[in-house]
Amino acid sequence: MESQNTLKVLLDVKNLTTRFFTDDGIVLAVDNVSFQLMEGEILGIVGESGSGKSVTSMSTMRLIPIPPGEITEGQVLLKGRDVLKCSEKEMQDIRGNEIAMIFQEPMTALNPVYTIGAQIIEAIRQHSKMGKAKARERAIDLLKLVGIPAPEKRVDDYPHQLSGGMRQRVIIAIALAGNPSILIADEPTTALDVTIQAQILRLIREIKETQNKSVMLITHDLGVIAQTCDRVIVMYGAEIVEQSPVRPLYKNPLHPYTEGLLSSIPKMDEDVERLNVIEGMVPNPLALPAGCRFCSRCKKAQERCKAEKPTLREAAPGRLVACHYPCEVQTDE
Amino acid sequence: MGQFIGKRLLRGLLTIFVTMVVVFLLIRMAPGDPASILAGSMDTDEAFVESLREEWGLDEPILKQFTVYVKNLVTGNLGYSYQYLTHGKPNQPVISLILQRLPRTFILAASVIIFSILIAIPLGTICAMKPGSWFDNLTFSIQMTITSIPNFYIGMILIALLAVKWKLLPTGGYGDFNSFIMPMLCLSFRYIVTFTRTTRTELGQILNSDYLRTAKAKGLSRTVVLFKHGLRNVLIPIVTMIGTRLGGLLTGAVYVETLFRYYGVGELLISAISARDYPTIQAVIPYIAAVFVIVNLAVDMSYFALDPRIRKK
Repeated sequence: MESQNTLKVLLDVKNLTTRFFTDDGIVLAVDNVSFQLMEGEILGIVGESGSGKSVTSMSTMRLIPIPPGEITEGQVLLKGRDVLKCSEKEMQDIRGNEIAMIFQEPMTALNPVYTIGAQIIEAIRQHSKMGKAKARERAIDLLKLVGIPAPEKRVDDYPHQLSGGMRQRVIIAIALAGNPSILIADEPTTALDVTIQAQILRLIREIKETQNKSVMLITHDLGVIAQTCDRVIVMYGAEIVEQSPVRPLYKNPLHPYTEGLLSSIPKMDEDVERLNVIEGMVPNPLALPAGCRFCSRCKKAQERCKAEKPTLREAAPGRLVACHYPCEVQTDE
Repeated sequence: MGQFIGKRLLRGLLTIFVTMVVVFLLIRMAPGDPASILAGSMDTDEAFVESLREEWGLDEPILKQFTVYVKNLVTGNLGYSYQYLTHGKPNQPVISLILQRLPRTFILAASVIIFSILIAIPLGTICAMKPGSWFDNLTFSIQMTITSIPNFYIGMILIALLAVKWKLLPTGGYGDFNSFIMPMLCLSFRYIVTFTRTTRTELGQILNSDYLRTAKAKGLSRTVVLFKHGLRNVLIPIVTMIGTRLGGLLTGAVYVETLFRYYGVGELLISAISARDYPTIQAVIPYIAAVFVIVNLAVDMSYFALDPRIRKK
């Protein structure tokens, strides 16, 4: 493992705020979110539905639908250049070429009327001056790389001829086509069954190693994070509540929400009547509470939590938490 | 594929045969026969009517009449229209009546479809790209208004304005381009509305689809995303829609043809029915059935070209 100090910051997200202007009101989907993606790391973003993790990742590529969405504040610095200030034309060079996305729904993320080859070749030729025949060879190579058997035959298949797992591999091949330095994987395994999930996660890890990529992995599954990531960001109510390297987070979660999430994972060696749950509901994104957003569900909540919003602060080296009364940091390592 | 077409054609033939039986029986069940209706307008005696019936074979048993009808139709002998007589003898072969009317109906149908598509697809695309915008809402309101006005009334408004008030176009007729414009416009309104709605709805869904987001994430330009990935998928529902409408147009638009004295197949059929002109009715109805069979088959065939999910099954 490389040491932390030598790592370069590839993507520096500063105070990102994304709102959706709906008929019911303004939805604050991402609220003042800041984080960094280092070169060569896999950064996990975990949170439940509506926590803002997907919108965060889409915002970095400016893929949110405008309207109703709008990135209202912040900076997304990609190798020092603010993505949010780029023109649509410049964005076309960034999408697929600098940052590429692996999508959640392998069944619908491919266009049904074009062959998978055509869809990969299109992505290749968008970012290089490669001839058609050469691009086709490269497409076959990419299919081989993502583990599709008989790629020279499969290249002419249509999406509906492939299984879900195979389609997800094709989507990864498309993401790799422009040779981007950053891959954003938005719930890449959610729609797949468990064995295929493991294969796809292994593939993403392999690609990160062999192709020298940095990966942002968005998931609601802490198990996926544990298997795959180096660092993890926990999101709740459009905010980051905890940020930590993976191992300490599992051993010693700091935020009560993270603690609750971890205790709700069923353990194989324990027999329980009922699974642990975090009581209550996520806050209404149309009317977020003034204080801590987790406070109504938090066992440790005090008066202060209702009134005063905790800010993200460093609790230990490399570990950030947004809580007035976090769990104690254990230093036995 | 070949087997599919063969099956569909066989089923189509059956459809045509059934319509032949139905129409043959229906017109004979209607009060009055061609001889009496013709005689009624000519001040003739009963003996002449009888002689006409005999000559046209209307006194034969019904089964015999039907076999003669089927045999004639299969051999392409459509007989003479009972409507047009010189010295008591029919002089207009049905086939020449139909051939005279067909090009008019075809040209009108094709122009209406093409004109409507040229207006509706861009209109629907703009609406789909900005749903809820003032343009989308305005288009929707205008469409609702048009839909709630009957076609013949739109035709009458057109005549009142374009022909009578502003004297831009003739009130009707056939032959030159000017008299062609109003029937085409009148028919197109309805189709523009339907086609725009379909484009708007279908494209609206596709624009929100995951594969369009994938296309955008590749770094493709908006134009490529919209035209290459969006419209190609919209073509499938649009072709279906055109298919269902084209059948109706190719078999004649009765009101509009009558209103503008643009005599096509629809008008031929209506006048034949009021004259109990059996040979003409019995030829036009199977033609209509055949048009529907062929158009439906053509739509299904176009799916093979447009949608690979059907092709490879």
